[in-house]
Amino acid sequence: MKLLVIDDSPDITDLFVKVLTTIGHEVAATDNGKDGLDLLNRQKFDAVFLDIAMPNFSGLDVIENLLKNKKLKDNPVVLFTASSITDIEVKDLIRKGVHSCIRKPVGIETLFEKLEELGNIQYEENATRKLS
Amino acid sequence: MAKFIFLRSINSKIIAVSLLLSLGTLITVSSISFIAADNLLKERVEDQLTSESTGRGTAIRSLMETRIQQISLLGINDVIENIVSRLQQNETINNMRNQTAYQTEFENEIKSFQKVLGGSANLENVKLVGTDGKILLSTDHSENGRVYSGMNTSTGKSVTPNVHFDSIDNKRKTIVTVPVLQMSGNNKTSSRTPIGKIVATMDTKPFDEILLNRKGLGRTGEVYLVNQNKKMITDSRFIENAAFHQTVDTLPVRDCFEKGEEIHAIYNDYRNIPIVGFSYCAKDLGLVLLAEIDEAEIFGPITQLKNEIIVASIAISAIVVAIAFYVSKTISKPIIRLRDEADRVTKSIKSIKPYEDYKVEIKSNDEIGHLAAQFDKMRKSVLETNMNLNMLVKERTKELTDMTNALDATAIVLVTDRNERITKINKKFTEISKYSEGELIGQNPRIVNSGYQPASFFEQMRKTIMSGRLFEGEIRNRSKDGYYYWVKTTIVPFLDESGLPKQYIAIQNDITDLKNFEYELQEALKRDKESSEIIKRQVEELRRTNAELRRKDKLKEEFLSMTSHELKTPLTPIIGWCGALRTPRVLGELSSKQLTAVETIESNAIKLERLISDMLDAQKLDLDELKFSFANVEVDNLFNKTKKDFEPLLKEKNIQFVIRAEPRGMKLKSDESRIIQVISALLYNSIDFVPKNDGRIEITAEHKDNNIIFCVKDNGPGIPKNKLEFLFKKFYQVDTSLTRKHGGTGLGLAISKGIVTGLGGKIWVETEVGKGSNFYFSLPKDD
Repeated sequence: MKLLVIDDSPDITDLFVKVLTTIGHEVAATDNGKDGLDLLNRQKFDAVFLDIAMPNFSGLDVIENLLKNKKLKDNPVVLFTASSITDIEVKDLIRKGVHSCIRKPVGIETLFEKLEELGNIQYEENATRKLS
Repeated sequence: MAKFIFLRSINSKIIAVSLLLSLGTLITVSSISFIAADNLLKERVEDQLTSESTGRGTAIRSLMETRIQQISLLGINDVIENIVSRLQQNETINNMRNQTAYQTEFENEIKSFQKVLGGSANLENVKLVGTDGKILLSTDHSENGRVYSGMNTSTGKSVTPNVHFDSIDNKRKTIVTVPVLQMSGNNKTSSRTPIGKIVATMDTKPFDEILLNRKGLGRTGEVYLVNQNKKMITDSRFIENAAFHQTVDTLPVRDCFEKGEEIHAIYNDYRNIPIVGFSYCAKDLGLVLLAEIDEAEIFGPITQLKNEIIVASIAISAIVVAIAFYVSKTISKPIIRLRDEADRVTKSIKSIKPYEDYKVEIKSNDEIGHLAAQFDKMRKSVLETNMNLNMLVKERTKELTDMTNALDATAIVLVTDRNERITKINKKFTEISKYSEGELIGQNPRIVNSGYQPASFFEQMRKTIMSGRLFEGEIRNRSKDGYYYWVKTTIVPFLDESGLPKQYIAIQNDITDLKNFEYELQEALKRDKESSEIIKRQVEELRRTNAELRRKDKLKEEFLSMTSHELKTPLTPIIGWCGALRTPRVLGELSSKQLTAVETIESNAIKLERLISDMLDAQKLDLDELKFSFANVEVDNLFNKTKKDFEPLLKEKNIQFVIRAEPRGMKLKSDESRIIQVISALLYNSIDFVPKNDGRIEITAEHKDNNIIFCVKDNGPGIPKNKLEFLFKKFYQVDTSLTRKHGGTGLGLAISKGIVTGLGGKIWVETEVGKGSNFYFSLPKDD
């Protein structure tokens, strides 16, 4: 799959890139939201792992932008955050079009599960989105 | 009834009017009819008597003329002529002394005389009288040769034929005297010379028939003849033997013979009785015929009628009055009742006495009845109003009296006149001022002045009240024994009709105590001003501290969220890379020693993460910052997640694990992640304390009332009773020595309690040393 990771911590982006490419995925990574949006403008991704707490341009701003440009449908966004965003806020974002949310720190198993989940979507383009 | 007389009553008015009307009508009617009758009667009588008098008079006249004519025929008779002339010339008549000789001598003459007279049956005596007045020949032979002593003994000169009445042997006769006329010379001249007269005596029967027929003359009417000598020559109806005896010297007689006039008038007749008389004057015959009826008889009916009318009028008037009386009574009775009622009502209103209530009973349906009904209504409402007013007055009076008494009991009252002299005071005034009533009445109120208020104060007061306005103020007064007292005074001016004050009422309250208190208060306030300043400052400081604390809290909060993120962030790659290392697919195979090392690193990183979370949650507990979000939670799902999350660890530790929800399908409205947090905390505790190889943990959920009760059971050592009190407190651990063995910060239970309480539930433990522990928490199904 074609994946995008947006996180301001290089360690995390490194981890994602290294681990996921090893198991066969194409991974792009940026450390800020603006660049991420640029990338999204130019190509579609099978999933976007988005950190919330980033300086200047937060993950929520990215989501807002994607909402405006109606790119959420084509680019499933998985919130990947350590911030204390409440369940209700998550549910709300999911309602708006975000795919799901996983909390940091994440276990590798959880990550693989999520990828499988996302992978299923790939094969079921016409089926309705699964809300977590 | 006594009021009948005065025209003030309706009764008498009605009666008087009726009386006047009836009398007036009657009088008018009767006068008119009376006068009409009178006139009618007079006319009738006039007609009647005129006809009687004239009729009879004319009859008598013609009768007389007939008789004259009759005898006049004899007067121009040749035979009679011859007899008279022969006898007159015979001288021997003078010498004849007896009748026999006379008869012998004049036998032929007598026979011829009788032959001529033969036819006339009504001749009782006929005499032939010569010019010398001697009876030449008579049907009564005894008279022959005598001198005629009758009337008209004229000596043969012109004798007008006449008839007169005379009484002969007390019998009334008519004497007709007619001249005997001789044709002198030859027949060429028509003059006749009288050579003697015939005197015929006739009866009066035909005259009497005319005169004594009293038909149409009523009861008192009579017709009679009177001669020139004013003697009645016919019979009277009333006096016997009146003929030739009764003198009738009355008006018609005089008028006839003196003036030749006829009269009809009312005069007194020969009996001196007033009569109505009509005369027929035959002066040439030496007679006047009088037809007379007693005035009484004629006008009697009228007078009677008049009297009857008067009586009838009186009777009718009486009846009318009686009727009027009755009618007016009927009409006026209700009116009088009304008047009486009105009087009573007025009296009762004036006397403010209770009033016996009864209705005016008037049954008529006319205007008076209606008036009575309306009057009744009015009366009722008047009485009601009156009663209400009286009650109101009583109430008000009582209220006023109560108020006045209350006022009197609590306030000082004085009344001054317009010259500022005290006219009335109440007891309280004497009590407070220590002056007696006698000392106060007539004085100016400044008797209690203490000089505290300046003159301008009293000037202002005077100005205000004199202009009719209310004055209020506080005055310090001095009592008789020299003590000061303060009053709050209200002065009310009372104005007269022209708007000028006529008296002032001052109501005062003793505020001496109040004033003292005021003064002391002011002093105390001055003293306390400083302390109040201090307090102010302290309050200010507290406020600042508060603000400071709040700011610090805010900072803490910000710090918390920042820290949590910062603290957790490094852990991500740590755990991430460890995981990657563990996964051969990703980073290749590791030796078992390497694998162990990586696992150790990962599990410690995970623990660290938990610790950080706990710490943050504990901080949030402090700040009351724990956030919950409520949503529908399905217990089965929750348990599945828990099972999935913990199964690996429990398997690894070889702990028997049962997780069961009964019944299935339970739902509640709560925060799922927080519930999981609590279960996790309890689970981690249990995992730490169960025996190494024999550990058994059971997680259940069941439904009770409106709550879901979760339970985490373990077969650990249990908790001694004396430690239970502090179990859920922060940082508490049953055995600090165990801490080092088991790790952990001791925050888990405190945080669990915080969460459970925040979700509206309860958390508790059932435990016994050696028997394990059962941790329960209940959550409400709905919020």
